[in-house]
Amino acid sequence: MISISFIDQMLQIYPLFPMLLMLCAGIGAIVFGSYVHNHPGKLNRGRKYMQQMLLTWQVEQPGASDPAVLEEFIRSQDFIQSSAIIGVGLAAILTVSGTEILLWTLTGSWDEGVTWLFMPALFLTYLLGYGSGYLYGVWHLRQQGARGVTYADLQPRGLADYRSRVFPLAASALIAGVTLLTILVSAHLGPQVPIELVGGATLQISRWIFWAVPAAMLLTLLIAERIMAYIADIPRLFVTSQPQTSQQADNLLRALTIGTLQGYELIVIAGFAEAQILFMMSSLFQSGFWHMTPGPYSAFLNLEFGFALVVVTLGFIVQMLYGRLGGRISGWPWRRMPTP
Amino acid sequence: MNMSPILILDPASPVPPYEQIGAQIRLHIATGRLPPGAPLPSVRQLARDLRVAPNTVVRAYKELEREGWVRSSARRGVAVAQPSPAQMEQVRTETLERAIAQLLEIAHQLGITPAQVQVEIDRLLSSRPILGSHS
Repeated sequence: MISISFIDQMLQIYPLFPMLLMLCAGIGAIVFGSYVHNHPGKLNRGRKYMQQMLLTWQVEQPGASDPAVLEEFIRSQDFIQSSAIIGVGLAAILTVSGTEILLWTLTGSWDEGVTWLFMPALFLTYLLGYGSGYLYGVWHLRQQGARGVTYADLQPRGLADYRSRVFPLAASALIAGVTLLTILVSAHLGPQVPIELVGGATLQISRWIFWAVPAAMLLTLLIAERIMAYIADIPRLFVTSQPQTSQQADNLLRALTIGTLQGYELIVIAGFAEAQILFMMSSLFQSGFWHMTPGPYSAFLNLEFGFALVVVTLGFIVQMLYGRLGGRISGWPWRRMPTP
Repeated sequence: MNMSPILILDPASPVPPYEQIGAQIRLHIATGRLPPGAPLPSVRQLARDLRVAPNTVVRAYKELEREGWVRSSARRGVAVAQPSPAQMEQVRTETLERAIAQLLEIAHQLGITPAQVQVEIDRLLSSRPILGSHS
């Protein structure tokens, strides 16, 4: 069993360790995803729990559940989610390779390890990998299930059906706060700011680097919102063999995916915000604007850091709500499912 | 199961797709499942879901608009209009007639006479009081 102290020791003697861990996780995700993709429905899982989820989402009615519907749903879910898992695995490998190449180009060493920005960057690629993997899975399932009969909703479909606007508003507020702080703080820094790497090397970079993080946060918001809107908009799928049950089962699949992506979006944006605030604090000390103790803006910086912690926690909680993010169809988990 | 109304398209049916779309929307409006003012999906969404050309949906919507079942505006898209009671009654009657014709066709194929069908309907109605109270 790997203990925390073992990981600490490994980090001290070998900064490349977390990178190798991520690389192994990426390869593991691809192997696992490929197995599930080729054997949909074969994985042993809590079928009782899945049945409960189908009842909650009104895919089936209490006392009239059909085991075939559950099996069809599991097969479709496995087929689509496995593509998303493979996407995440590929994203992890690409991020680790890309970061190492970048660090080697900048420092001439593979052992410089990672900075605070690595984790949000990794989650950003997870978001991209998961979203594109899901879309590929949907496309593949639609190609496979090219049967004669098709069905459609008789009401407009959109992201608001699956998710409340509270989440993008929280992310936007965080971006606005970090942008304002960046404007205030960058006026008190020299033309160049030092960036310390885990391995000990220090990079001197123009202070314009400060704008890279708010730009990355905004880009993350735009990309994540676009992917989620696209997922809400994709054509209806035959998740089960009956159109009526398929409609609600399809809603469930979309809501689960949008929930995962929404979680990633919040984690990435809040992770970038935390990295930026820590970076600003250390830069204010190094520039001499702050001396022994934190000076001006410290209250605002701490407040924003606290807000980022709340948002990142929300990002993890959102992933445990199983798609019930307050949308018109999905509703909130503490309320009864809205009648579709 | 209380699901939101859906539209099912069968490409193997001899009825053209635009007519299948129109007939089902008329029926949903006539039965109150699509209330007046309810927004209908965009041409793009419906065409992609049903795997038909957008022109097929445009044709169905235009026909429904001409008959007064829906109204469209550039800003709000297509929404359910307030059709006349006569129109609603006509759709209900036509749908019932089609269903009975289909039933009689199946009965004929099975060698069951219309009188036997009548007996069977009476038996079902008496055993299901909710249906009977509507009749």
